[in-house]
Amino acid sequence: MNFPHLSSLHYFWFLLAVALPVIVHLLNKRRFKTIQWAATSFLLKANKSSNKKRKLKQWIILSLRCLSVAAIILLIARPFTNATLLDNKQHKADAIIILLDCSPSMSQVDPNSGLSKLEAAVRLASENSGLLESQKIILIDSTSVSPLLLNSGHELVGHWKTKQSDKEANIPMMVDTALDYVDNNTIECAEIWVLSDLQASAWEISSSAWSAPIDKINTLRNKVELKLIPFNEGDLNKVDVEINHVAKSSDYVEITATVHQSSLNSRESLQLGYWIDGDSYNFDTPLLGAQTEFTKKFPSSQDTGYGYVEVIQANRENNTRSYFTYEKPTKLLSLVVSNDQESQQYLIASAKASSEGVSGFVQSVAPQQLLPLDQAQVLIWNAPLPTGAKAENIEGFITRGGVALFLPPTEDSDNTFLENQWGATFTASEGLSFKVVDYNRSDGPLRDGNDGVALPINELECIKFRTLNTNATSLAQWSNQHPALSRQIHGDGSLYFCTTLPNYFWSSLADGDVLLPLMKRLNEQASKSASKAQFYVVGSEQSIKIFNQNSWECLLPETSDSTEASLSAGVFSYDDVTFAQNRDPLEMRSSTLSMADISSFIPSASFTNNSNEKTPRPIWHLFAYLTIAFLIGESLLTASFPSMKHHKQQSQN
Amino acid sequence: MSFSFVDPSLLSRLSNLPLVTQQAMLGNVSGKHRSLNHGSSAEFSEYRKYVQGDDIRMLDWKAYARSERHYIKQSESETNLLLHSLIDTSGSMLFENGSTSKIDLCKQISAALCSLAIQQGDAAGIHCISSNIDIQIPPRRKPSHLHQIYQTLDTLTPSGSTGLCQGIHDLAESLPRRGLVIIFSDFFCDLDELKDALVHLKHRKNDVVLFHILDESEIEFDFSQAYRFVDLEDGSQQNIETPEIRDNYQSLMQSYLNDIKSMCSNTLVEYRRVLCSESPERILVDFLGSRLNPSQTS
Repeated sequence: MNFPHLSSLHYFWFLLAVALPVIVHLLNKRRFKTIQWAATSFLLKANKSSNKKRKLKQWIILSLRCLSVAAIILLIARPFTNATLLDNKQHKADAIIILLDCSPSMSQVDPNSGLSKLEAAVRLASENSGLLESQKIILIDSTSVSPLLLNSGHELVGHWKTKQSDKEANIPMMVDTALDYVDNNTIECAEIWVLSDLQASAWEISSSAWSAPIDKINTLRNKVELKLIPFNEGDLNKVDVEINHVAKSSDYVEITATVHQSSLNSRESLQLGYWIDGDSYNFDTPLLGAQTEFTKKFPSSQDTGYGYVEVIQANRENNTRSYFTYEKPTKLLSLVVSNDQESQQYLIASAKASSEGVSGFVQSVAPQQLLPLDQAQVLIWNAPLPTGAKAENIEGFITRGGVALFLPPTEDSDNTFLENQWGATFTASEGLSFKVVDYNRSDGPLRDGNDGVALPINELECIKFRTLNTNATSLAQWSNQHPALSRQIHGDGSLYFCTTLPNYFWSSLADGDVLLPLMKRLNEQASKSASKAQFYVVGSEQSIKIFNQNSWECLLPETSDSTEASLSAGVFSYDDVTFAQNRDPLEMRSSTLSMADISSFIPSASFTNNSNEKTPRPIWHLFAYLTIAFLIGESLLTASFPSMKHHKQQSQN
Repeated sequence: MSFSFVDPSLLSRLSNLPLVTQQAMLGNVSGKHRSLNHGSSAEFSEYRKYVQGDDIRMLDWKAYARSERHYIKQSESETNLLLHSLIDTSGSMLFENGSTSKIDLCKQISAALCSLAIQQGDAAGIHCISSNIDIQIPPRRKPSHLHQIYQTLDTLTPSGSTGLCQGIHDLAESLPRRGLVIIFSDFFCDLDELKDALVHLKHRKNDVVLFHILDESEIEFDFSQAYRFVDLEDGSQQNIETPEIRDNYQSLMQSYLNDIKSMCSNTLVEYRRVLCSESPERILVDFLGSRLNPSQTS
């Protein structure tokens, strides 16, 4: 049995309270009321005949009372089972690798124990691994995802790497890192303990990111055992606010935000606090189910500023705030370069339509013309890849934060740009078409909408695409595993490669169902890059880069510890740029997985149902049932039964 | 001088109810009770042949006229009653639990009965018995004797353990002739010894009545908490969780009550259970009434 929720084992001094029933029993013996009595002989006889039974009954009652007190104390301590955590392979694992989910959702506090899930997880891991002396203990936290060798499991409590951060966990990457560590350090037998609250956003069970770790698990099956220690209880009070958009007009700031709450939560309203440039506001916001989007306007005469929205009295410690910055919007310029007339027509139209929200312009430029890249933020290139001076200009444009979308040229070309080269075209057999079978729904321009609805990618039919020789990350793949959309981050900007054209003879991209949101998101990305007011996700590549390359200052929260601020949500500034960094919105929207979900998607022996039973589980229910049973037993023994007695007397008469 | 246990209004209400016995008495003076001897009274008894020496005044001349034989007409004799009130004065009789104490109820009933007996010309006396007390007031018919009885009852304070059975034996031995013996007690004694004592009394041709005086709490034992029970006779203490033994106690008490009733029935002794909460008037009316009409005796 483990007590991960206890801040100290001194709590068990409370077990002395089992003496209370004994003391009460002894005191009761002194509390007799005196009465003069005549029929003493009957008393003596009656007392003598029932003495043995009575004494036995009293002992049982006293024992039940003591046991119920002990059970209540253990119930409050919220124990976990621990027997099965250590008994596997007769404790002969060489190393224990502890994967600790330090994501914001792990900061949810248990009102009974006052400990967060993360603290409980750390204590559980510490107590179990602390018992092992000959094994290596390696910690991999979700913030740094780097292995750290510990001298003892006891070091876990209070270790700086076990502190909560606002960065979302990436469990597949953590598992992959752990497996790499086992492989690289010639460990003969290792146990990997995953301590997580099973947030779907952290586990990404539908993502291709698991393919590599699962392969490695299968390869290292004899050396590695994966154990999952879930902390997925008590999410009923989970409430988060996500800022979707902040728009600044001449005299007010308009904040669009979404409140996410657990689907099991029946809360009908929520008090939200707003802090904007030093002014505070509190409003009750009615909630409509699991997600409620709302818009609020606040007066503001400044051109730029920052603030936050927070959930008041939520069951979290500090991370219920979402920060934002705002400034006057800048106008975007999108350049469309195409030597295919039909595609050019659709690209210009979609670029225009999608730039409405960010008030921009679209300019069509011939490939051989000089590109006004200094004024532009988006470049759509449908021509052979640029070379020479033009390529250098475009590279500089991307490095500065520009967003470029490259589409395949209609004619073959050997040109190379940033190590990317178009290959041969693929044409589907007659009557057939290529479909997108796998795409990134959480990141990139094909990601799901704010309302969680996926883009109609399935409706996209492609009869012709051009292969791409690239190192860029694939965001979408055709059914024959060739990339449909790839992304390469270069400098502050990104370049995307779409391998088909909005052309009747290439694909149905021209229908606009996919092209329009794709263009809109490229515009949004460009708009964010162009804007000095920025939103980042804690722990994202862009965020880490900014913190590493600039001398920054934390503006909010005011009490932030500067050494850890870069991994916390807040408002920061460097040079003349102000940006907000928030927790991953995916985590706020995320649901909690069950053990069945996890075991069903990892087809490894370590994650069979048997292993589920081996993982430590909360057993406070057991003590709750025991307490109830003891109390019922005690009340049954102490209660009188008038009907039975009456019946007995009647039979005697 | 007034006594707390004497209620003149109660006595006046009861004056119309005579105290009678259910068997013939042997008195030395005439009274209201049937005698074993024949004498002069209105009640015809039997005819017997004249023998020499008989009082010729007793000859029935009408019978001689019809049969020319000499017959003596005999009539029943009516004599007086000796009422013996035997009061158990052991410590247990001090028991009270919110209502009248056992001894007070005894005093009220016995005083009333003695008063009724003397009023109707019978002799009444009391006997108070315990291990510490032995008071004997022999029966007298004089009205002034009643005062002596009252004074004795007034100063009576129960103490010590019960000496009832021995007291009954002693009384049976000391009675000069048969009479009505009424015993007031809670009878917390050995029933076999009590039976022997009662048989002894009955053997001496006495009409015996037991007034079994109990408190309701002694029967019901309806206590709900722990009590320290102090014995009224020897002062011993017993700490008891009353709910724990209630069933056993009630069972034992019920068995005892059944036994004593059965024993009285077997020994032809009238048994009357009296609760301390009952009014003396109700008790006396029931008792006297039942003796007038024995078929209604409980």
